[in-house]
Amino acid sequence: MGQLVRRAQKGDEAAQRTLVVNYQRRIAGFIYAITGRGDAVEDLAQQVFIKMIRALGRLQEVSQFEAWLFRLARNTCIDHLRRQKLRRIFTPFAAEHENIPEPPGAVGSEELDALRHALQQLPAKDRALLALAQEGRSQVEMAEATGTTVMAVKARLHRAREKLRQFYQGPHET
Amino acid sequence: MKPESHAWLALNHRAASLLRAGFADRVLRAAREAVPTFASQFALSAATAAVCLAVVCFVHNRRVANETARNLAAWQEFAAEAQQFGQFP
Repeated sequence: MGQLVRRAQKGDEAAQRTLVVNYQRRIAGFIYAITGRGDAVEDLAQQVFIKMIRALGRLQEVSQFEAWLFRLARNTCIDHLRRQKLRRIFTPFAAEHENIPEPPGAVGSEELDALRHALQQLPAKDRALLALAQEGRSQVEMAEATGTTVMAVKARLHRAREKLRQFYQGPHET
Repeated sequence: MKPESHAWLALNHRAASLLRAGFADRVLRAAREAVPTFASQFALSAATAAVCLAVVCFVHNRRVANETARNLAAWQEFAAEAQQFGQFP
């Protein structure tokens, strides 16, 4: 992986392409978990990878690539949600248009619908934290990504997990 | 395994299916496109500001010139009338 990232840093397009292909599924899942919108996934994933390619040269520690990439994705999603919120102030019908829910069953299994519903009840920053944890990021990495302390991350993650469990009602529980 | 673990897997699977074929190629193509530099954006802003300033100066000068011409004409008229009055015994 280290070699691949170094080659990509030097502008090797094949290496950059391999990185995109290797991570596109995970980044798409991460974005979907945070935004909850299927129509935003491809656009945001593209933004994340473009930023990755353009900023890769500035990455000092190659071993931190994965944590860095997910931090980039998290920040892109939070910015997107913030912009959307701001746009709603100026565009009266934007909220109605943006919040047309994907009909149940259209997105997949009942389990998936239940998880999406539960995630949407949480604040965006909690969703991002849960998605980072789901991606196997350590609490230290999560603290770096969110700009807080490890203790704060621990507490917030615990609360977010509790809330998710509260809201999550899988098909077996209904 | 937590009850929502399967759902997380389904979520990742669903999200991955939302990426159209050729995603990586589109990303690379878009990343290669030229990004406007700070200098070019600054130059564009400066040029726009200069054009606006020139237009404001032009309009202001024209208004001042018109006003001066009107005033001069009025004064000339006034001076001519005063001269006429002065000619009477």
